[in-house]
Amino acid sequence: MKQKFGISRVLAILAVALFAAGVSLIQSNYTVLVINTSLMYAIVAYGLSVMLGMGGQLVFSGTAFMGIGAYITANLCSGRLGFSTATPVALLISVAGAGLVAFLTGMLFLRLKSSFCTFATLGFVQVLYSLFQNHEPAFGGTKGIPNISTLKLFGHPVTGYKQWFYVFLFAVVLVALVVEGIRRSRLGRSLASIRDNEIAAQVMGVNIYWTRVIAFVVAGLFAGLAGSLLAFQNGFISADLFTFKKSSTLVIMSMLGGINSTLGIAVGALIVTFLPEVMRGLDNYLMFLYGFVVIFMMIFMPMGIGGLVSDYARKLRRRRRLGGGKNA
Amino acid sequence: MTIRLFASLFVNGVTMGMIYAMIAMGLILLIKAVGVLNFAQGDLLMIGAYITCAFATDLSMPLYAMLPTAFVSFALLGVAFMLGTYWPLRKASYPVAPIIATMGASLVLSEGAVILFGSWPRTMPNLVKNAAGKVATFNLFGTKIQYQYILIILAACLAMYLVYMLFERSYVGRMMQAAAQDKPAAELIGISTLFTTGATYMLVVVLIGFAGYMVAPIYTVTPSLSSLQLRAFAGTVIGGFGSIKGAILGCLLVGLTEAFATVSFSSYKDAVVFTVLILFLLLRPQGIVKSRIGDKA
Amino acid sequence: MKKVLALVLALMMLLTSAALAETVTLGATAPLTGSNQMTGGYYVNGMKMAVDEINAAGGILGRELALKVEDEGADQTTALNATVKLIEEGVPAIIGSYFSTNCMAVLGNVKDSGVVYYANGSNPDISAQQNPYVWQIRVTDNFTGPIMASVAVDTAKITNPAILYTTAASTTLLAERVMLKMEEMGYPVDQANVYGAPEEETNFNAIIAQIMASDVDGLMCMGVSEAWNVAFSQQLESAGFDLPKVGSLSFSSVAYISVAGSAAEEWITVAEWSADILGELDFEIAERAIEFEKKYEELYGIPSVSQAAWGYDCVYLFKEAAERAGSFDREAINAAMAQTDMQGAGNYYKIYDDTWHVMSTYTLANQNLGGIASPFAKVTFR
Repeated sequence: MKQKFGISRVLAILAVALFAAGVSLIQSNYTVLVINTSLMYAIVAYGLSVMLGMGGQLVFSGTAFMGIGAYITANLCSGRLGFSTATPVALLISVAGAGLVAFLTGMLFLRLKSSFCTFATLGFVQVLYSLFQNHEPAFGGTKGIPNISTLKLFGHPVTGYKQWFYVFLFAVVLVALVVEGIRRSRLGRSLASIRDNEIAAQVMGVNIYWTRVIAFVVAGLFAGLAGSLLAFQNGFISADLFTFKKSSTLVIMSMLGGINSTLGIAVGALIVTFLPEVMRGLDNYLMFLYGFVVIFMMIFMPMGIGGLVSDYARKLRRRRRLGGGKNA
Repeated sequence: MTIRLFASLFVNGVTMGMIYAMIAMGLILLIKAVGVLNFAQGDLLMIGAYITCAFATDLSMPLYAMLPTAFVSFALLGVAFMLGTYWPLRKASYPVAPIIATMGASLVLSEGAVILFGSWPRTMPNLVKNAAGKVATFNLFGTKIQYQYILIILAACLAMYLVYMLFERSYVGRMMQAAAQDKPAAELIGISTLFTTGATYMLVVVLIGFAGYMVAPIYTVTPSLSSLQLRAFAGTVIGGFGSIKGAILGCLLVGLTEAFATVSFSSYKDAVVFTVLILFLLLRPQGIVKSRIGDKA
Repeated sequence: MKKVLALVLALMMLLTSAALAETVTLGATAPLTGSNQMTGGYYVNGMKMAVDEINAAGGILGRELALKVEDEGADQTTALNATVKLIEEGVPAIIGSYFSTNCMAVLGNVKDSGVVYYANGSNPDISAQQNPYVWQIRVTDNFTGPIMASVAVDTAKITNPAILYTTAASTTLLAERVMLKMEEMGYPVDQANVYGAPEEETNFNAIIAQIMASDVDGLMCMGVSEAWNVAFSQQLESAGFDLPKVGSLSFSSVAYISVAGSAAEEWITVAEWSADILGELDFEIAERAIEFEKKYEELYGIPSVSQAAWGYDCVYLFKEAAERAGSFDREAINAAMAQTDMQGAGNYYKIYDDTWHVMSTYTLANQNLGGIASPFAKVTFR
């Protein structure tokens, strides 16, 4: 067990290093932009994997907290409120703000059972979208908020998509490590027990309500981080970035990548974000075929690409243990 | 708020509520029968509207020919939908998978509609016309109410009553309920779950296609018709997840809230409706009407 | 042997020079998919017409003009990606988005790369950022709003209007400006008569019920998408509304009128472009516009739409700037843009002192009669 653990860790580090090296060689600004966008969605998707993959609860709140994080950053760093905050501070405030709202709404929503909870988050996204779109004093209304200054890390402003790539990559790796940490920790096991059998979990002494709230807050923190970074990178945000449709795209992204696979989620995010760009020529047929792809993947690979890979790895290990593939 | 305005908004709210109720009824049937949250419900409504529009306008079929043909196409669509999104996943280890599959189906349907029918909005002639060819209205408290609203309300009531009768009273309905509550036991008795599931899906799509047909003359037929499903979801949840009666009440509430919210909050109408949903969830999570069959653990 | 070699060399030179018959690529973003693909289609029509015309006349500075249109989809992210992609491919100029939020989203990239950007959005914020590379060809909403209000009061005799606007950037601003001007003219608008509805909305009956129950003497409506307009006007007609109606640009579009049918009749609109300019008019219309319309109808068989005229004009603005600059370098073309003085099909484009890079001069007041928007006045606001 320990040995397999070591190998997959080394492989993961290698994969990340190769990826970073590969991207740093890319000349095309456009490709790096698309990669950055997918990394940003991956961060939010990790939050979803904690709620859905570990906890078994489908929620659509990703874009809502992304929006909160983004708008807090936008308000603090664009000078529209009359003052401008130091950008690292604004980042922390945005993440904390999203987490706080997640805590408050989580306490309310997670009292509800599965489908009710899902719809509560759905309603929440709609309410927030309506507010983002229309309320001018707080959210810039339909015009959005421009002139968001860029993030300054240790005095150095992050400029250009390449530099942002490193920021996003760092954030993704950090978030992924946190997710892996949760998975192996007591919190992760509690969530898994709730997902698999709620009554048994309760018997074992798991506080179902608070465990789920913590998971929801974690998801909210991740989403807030992603939203804030998005606002910094793009310099302009408006409500159409935070719709219910984007939320469902996030869910699909996570499922395609593998809701319980840490590397899979990043891969899923990359694929789903790159697809419309790579397939630009297909126009209308793109989303049409994409819908079929989603259906097929759910039928044949509900655990996503990550699930497929870990299945395959498990098969390989079994073969080896049973003493050679040819003889088994 | 004059009585005139109130009457007008009330009728509007109830009409929309009945449309949402038909969508919600389909939703609940699917949840009860196969346990799937169907996120493609709104797109099925939209396709229903497009199909009837195509039959009525493009092929110029008269009403008596169009309705049966439309119903048959809806039934076929229902079977196709089931085979595509549910049947291969019925034994899925992962309960979210069928829901995601319906999300994929939603994309297929909406993009398919654009590919087949183009992106120009389409219109359907009004259901009830007066001698001059314009929409027929009658006077209520000084405001003009269109006859077709009343027609929609009556037709929706009738459709839902028929479905209710089918489920609660007829043998086929009981078979479906049995299969929904306990599949292995039903199979042991000799009920073919394939048959009951297929029948359920056909029924749901026919119901919702019919709703699409009735909605088409009031609104324009565009792919964005599918956004009506979110309100139906809200109504379903408000009404208590498993109960058809509750869903109807919940949807009526949503329809009325939507109508009256435009008085002061027209741009924030969506926010108001969903805040009501959230409030209901917090204050009365079991819904307006308690369901007879409890949630499986 | 030498002769053969010489022949081969000559042939090679001929072939390579034919292969290198240089082209210059003009970039453009347009919604080719998603709910706004009709608009995208019109843009492409207009742009293609201009490109073919220019190439038939010998191209620009001896080079053939090619057009690369990237899809901006239905949201900001896709539009941003499309613009960055084009910038990277080295195009000297980009014909930008019709949607103000997309224009705003790409401003940073435009500034950093120095690409010449023709903004087709109508929000004055786009130019208010004073981006040196952004050139706005539209009549911005802060001009259109007051004009709409004046037309409503003077022509339609509306003094107490109901206002309905789509909750999108340009229309919200239009509504605000209209209300400001109405107040200035002494006819303040009652807030209870102002309604907003989101773009995806298809059910306006509750709003219409309130309009009918109130004591307004007319309606002003600002819409962006044709489907929204069609749904609203049809429901309005069904409700039996018979007071004067003033609409924004999209209410004069051919797409809207042909689908809405009788519900579109008698709407008065303020729009920079009308396709019905081939007949007798009470004011002067530019030759260029008439030629454009004739050619468009010949080529495509249907009357044109404003987006086609704008696409056409952007291509020509680029051509003239390039010819003034004598090169296809981004900076040179940008510098040459400052001397723009061109009568296009859709407007007269010039650099004015009262705004930064907003180049429009006039707009038209039209009325939908007999299935087409007929202009009855030309409003030259500077």
